[in-house]
Amino acid sequence: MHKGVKQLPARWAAAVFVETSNVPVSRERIPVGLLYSGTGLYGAVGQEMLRGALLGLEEVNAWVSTDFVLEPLIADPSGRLRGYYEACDAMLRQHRAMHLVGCYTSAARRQVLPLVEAADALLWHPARYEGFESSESVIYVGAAPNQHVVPLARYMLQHIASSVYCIGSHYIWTWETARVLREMLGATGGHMAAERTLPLGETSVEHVVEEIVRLRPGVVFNTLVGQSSYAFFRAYHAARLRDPHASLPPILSCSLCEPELQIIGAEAGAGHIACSPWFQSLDTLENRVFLGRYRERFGPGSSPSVDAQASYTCMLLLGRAIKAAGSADVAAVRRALYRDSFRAPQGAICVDPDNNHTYATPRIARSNLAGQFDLLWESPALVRPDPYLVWLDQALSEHSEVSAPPRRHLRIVS
Amino acid sequence: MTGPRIPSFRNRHALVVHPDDNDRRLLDGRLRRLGLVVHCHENMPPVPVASHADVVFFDVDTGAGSPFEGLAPSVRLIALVGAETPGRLEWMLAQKPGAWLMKPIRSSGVYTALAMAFQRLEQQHDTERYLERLRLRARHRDPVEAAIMQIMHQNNCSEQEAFSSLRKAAMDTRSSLVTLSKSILADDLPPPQRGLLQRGG
Repeated sequence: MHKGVKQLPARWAAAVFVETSNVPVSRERIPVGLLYSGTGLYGAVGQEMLRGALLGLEEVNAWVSTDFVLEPLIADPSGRLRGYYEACDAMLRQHRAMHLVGCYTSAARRQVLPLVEAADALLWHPARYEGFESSESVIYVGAAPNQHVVPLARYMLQHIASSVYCIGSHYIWTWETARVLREMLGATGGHMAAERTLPLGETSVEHVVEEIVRLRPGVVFNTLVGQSSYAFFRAYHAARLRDPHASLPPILSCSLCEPELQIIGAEAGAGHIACSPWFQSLDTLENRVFLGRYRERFGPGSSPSVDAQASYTCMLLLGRAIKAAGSADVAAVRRALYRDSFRAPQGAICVDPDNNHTYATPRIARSNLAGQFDLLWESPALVRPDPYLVWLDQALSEHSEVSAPPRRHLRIVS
Repeated sequence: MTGPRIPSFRNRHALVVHPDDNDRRLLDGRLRRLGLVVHCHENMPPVPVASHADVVFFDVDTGAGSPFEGLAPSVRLIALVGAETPGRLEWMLAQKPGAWLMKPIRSSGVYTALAMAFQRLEQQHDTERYLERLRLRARHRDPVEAAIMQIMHQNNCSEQEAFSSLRKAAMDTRSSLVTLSKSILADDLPPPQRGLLQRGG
């Protein structure tokens, strides 16, 4: 397990563990709850996110000029909603934590939200999500829909095709993403060739691939998650191999990340397009430093996802705000946070006080055979979060924003 | 004073279709306190089974398709709303619930939702009964209107004059407006009645 963090037993469902590393007694200990599922349906994602959070926490604790340390409380709800509720309850009531970092799914976030709101605590949420929420008690560090779904759909309509086959897992994020896509297609004269959903975890995807081969849409928009998505990429690749002349279009995803490309396999994962505020390949000083520390800490083979990067960023935002406020008091931290901005691995970041979401730089990239992404487009400016898509019509008409892909980044995978 | 009255919900049957979690447990507890008999299900049971319930609480977060097609019209629907995304709300509206409850379920709100849903169904039944009466009346009015048009045309008179003579003829011959109008349209009116409908008759 991670250095400095207590080894966790096999069954750690609602238990909360307190990190007890060597911390100078003179520094105030501020408990921070880490709500990540390292096991269960999306355990692989949760583990990377926990790693990102721990790296950020350790970095904050290493600051010499502060008089506090963040003390991690770790629990593994194993993806069970009840587990999230119990762990959050224990963190808030027994351990008096006023800052919690984590939650991957919207269902998990909504499960703990009433507890966090009632305690007037703060949840630092790293994952992108479907939007249509804005709580005073949550800092939404992951991308809002206008920072991932909208730019990807716009890029698709302008540069790839307007006839779309939509495939997704049977749950809210897919439904909402498909709805936004339908709206954008309607406004731009595009065409939904078909819209299919599969139950969560379903890996029988052959019939979907067969339908795509038959319908020949201009592009495939994928919102499958986890094993369903991996199975789909592999089956799609197999169909391409069976009929090289079929020229099946690329698959577009809002959630495809580097650790998943490893799971899918190099060839099946290559040549597809994703939208995210961060990719491992982002060539900035801050990102190189982050990746270096991550690999040093968790091994050269470790591969952070965008959500792991956001978890790391959550912890830095929290540490900086506590430092600036001189206190972990939620109101003081919130005020300090609203004044802050800094360069995270994903680039400049700051929080919009109107809705508690972060400004981000959407990027679109194509996966390559090395399991990395080559940048195709990046927003020329930070994009203000619009969780309720109040400005969707304007985002649609901003054709200039998605200009042609810059040539220097183009590395087409054949 | 007359007006809406909130009934007792004792022994009413509530069906709760929702994943087994904290919200379902809380809702179950509130409903039992209000005297209802509660049946909890993870997924929607077959429509004939659900039709036995007085009220169905359904989850908007996980719902899909048209689960209430063919449901008995006596069943009230209450939506349990989590994510307020347009897609989910559109699906909820398509189910035409009589009331809704926001999740997380709290100690308050359940009673209000029940009161709303029960009142709305009564209102809806009242409206439907009223519409049915209007429909019937409209169906009956058709021959009357056609007969008036015919009288106006034949006698070159106003609508008011035509209606007056039709009503007078109906009263004099002790027949209903509809029966008389149908006879006029079928052109099998006995001469005495025909005379009554002549201009100035």
